[in-house]
Amino acid sequence: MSPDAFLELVRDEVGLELAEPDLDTAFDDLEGWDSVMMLKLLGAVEQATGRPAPMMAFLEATSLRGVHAVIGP
Amino acid sequence: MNTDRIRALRDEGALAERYLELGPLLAAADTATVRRAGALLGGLSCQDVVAANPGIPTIAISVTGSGTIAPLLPALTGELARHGLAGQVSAGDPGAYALHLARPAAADLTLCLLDASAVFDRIVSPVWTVDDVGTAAAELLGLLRGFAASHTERGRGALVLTTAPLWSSWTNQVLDLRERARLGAVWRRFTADLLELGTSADTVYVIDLDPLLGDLGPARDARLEGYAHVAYTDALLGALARQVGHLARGLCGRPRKCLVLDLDGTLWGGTLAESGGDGLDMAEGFRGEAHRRFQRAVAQLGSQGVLLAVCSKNDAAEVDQVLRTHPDLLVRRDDFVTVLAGWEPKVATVPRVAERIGIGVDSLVFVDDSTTETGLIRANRPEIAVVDVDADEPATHVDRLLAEGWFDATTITAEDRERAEAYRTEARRADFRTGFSSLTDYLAELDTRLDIFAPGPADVARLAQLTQRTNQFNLMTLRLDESAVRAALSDADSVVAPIRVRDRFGDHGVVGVVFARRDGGTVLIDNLVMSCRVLGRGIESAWIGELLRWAAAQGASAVIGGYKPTPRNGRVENLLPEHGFAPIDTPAGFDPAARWFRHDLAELPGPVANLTVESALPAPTGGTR
Repeated sequence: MSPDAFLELVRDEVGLELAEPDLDTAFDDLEGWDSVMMLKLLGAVEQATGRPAPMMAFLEATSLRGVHAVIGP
Repeated sequence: MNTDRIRALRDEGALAERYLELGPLLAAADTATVRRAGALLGGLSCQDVVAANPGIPTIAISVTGSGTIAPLLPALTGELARHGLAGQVSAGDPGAYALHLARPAAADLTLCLLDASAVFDRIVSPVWTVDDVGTAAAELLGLLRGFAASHTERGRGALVLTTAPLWSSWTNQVLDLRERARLGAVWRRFTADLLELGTSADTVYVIDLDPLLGDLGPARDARLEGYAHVAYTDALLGALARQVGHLARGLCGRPRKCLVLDLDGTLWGGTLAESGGDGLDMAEGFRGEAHRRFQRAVAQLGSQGVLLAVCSKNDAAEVDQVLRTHPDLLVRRDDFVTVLAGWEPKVATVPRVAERIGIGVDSLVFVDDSTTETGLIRANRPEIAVVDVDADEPATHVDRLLAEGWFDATTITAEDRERAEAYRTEARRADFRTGFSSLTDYLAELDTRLDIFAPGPADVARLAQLTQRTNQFNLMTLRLDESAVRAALSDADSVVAPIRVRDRFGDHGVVGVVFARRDGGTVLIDNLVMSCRVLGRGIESAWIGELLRWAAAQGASAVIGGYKPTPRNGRVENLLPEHGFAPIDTPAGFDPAARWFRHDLAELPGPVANLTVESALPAPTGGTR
């Protein structure tokens, strides 16, 4: 999934308006982010890609860049 | 729909101010969309919404549960917005439901989301037997009974508990198959007792999750459960939030009273005006059985005090006849408090149902398979609840009718059940009153597009079907089979001009066709048929006008057409005279059973207002092709 498509997904699913640099912001510093959003995002990614996402790795990621890396291309 | 509009409102900071627009926006949205919308509403304060919308009903919901409840919150927030309720949704600490419920409730609605872990977590030992589960379940039930009692005594608002479905990840851990069955039995007894709690105390409700499971994809995700203590998937939480939304709507006291039904494609299969009462599907076959199930569900609602009414685009006498005499109909004329049949747009006639029986328009629920009718009503009368059904899939009618729980009530009394008779009387009185609607406004809004096109091989079947099925709007009632249509298409002197109609709500498809011929300097209309579905918009006028202008442009000196009366086509008796044709004697060789008319093309009609016409009538061929 391209970074743009990923950002679009984040925007649609959790309603946060983020730009490319926000991908590298640690979740702790990402305004508006909470842990539930990760679950939402997981569901959305699985729906978008049509295959299960590695949830453990997902939950252990510390930034959206990390999540994006886990999903793979 | 997507949530772009709601996101835009949020970014403009206009959510509080425009909060009431969210209801119509989300009316037909699925639970995933409502959840996403709810996430966008997360930062909105209930106070701001109330300040911007004085008089809006408000409800404070406090959520707790045996697992992680956070994923439920956006779904709930979205559902409240969908019902036009200003909501404050707050969550207790994860897993701390016992503490939460032990305190006197302060919210209008306290929701406790239970899952199987509420029972299994009570078992201290890592291994367990079915008896241990029975003991733990009984303890939990005792605890919940106590909370329910103290809630009724000291708390405020409603206490809502869910059941806790038992998944195979538990049952499959019991290897003895008889014991496994016993676990199921123990669990069902616990569930049944839990549900009983909701039947006795009048401030306690129990939502049964089991019936919801049949309509969903997976209700559980082992990873969500294992890593995040989220007991249910978004699909189940969305369905639950919807149920809670209905309950919240009911608690805020705006009950719906009257179910207004369309007939063709909704209550029965088929089109009355085209097939007559005998040709309607409501007994046998795929379609007939599906409509019969729907009628049965409608009767079931009627038996519980829901007022039933009809609003149909059909001839009133024909409708009356079918409703009184059709042998298969399960809801009959006397079951309806009022029946409105005619050709006016329903956005005008549906509200009249309320007027006739003396209830508010906001008590109506309207069911129709035409997205044109439902769309106009949604856009213009948002206070009417609308249920879309799909005439092509009548098996889904019952689900769609019941999906929104419009008539769910916290209690239904004997008076409710007897209410229908009183309203029927009121409706008879009102039958003598009539009203008028602004047809022009309606048409302008509809933005109807008429496309007169050159048919190809793919259209043959539909054109033949139109000549065979159309009874009312059929000038000569010439039935053509597919080979006859094909012959007309390949005849160089023949002009076959079908129409396709679209409007802002959708595509009606190919709804009419003219068969004409050039004969020297004259154009002869062999037949003109149109489906009654699109009557009342001036489409026939625009179409005939276009034909006349086309004939004149071809250098024709006249257009001749006939009307051959049948028991069913009285509607088009004056169609040609109304469009500038003058009666003539039957020309030699023409059907003497028909009346004939001639247009001399001296005065051509102008365009019809509020209709956009595109015409691909063929260039003149005059037999030279």
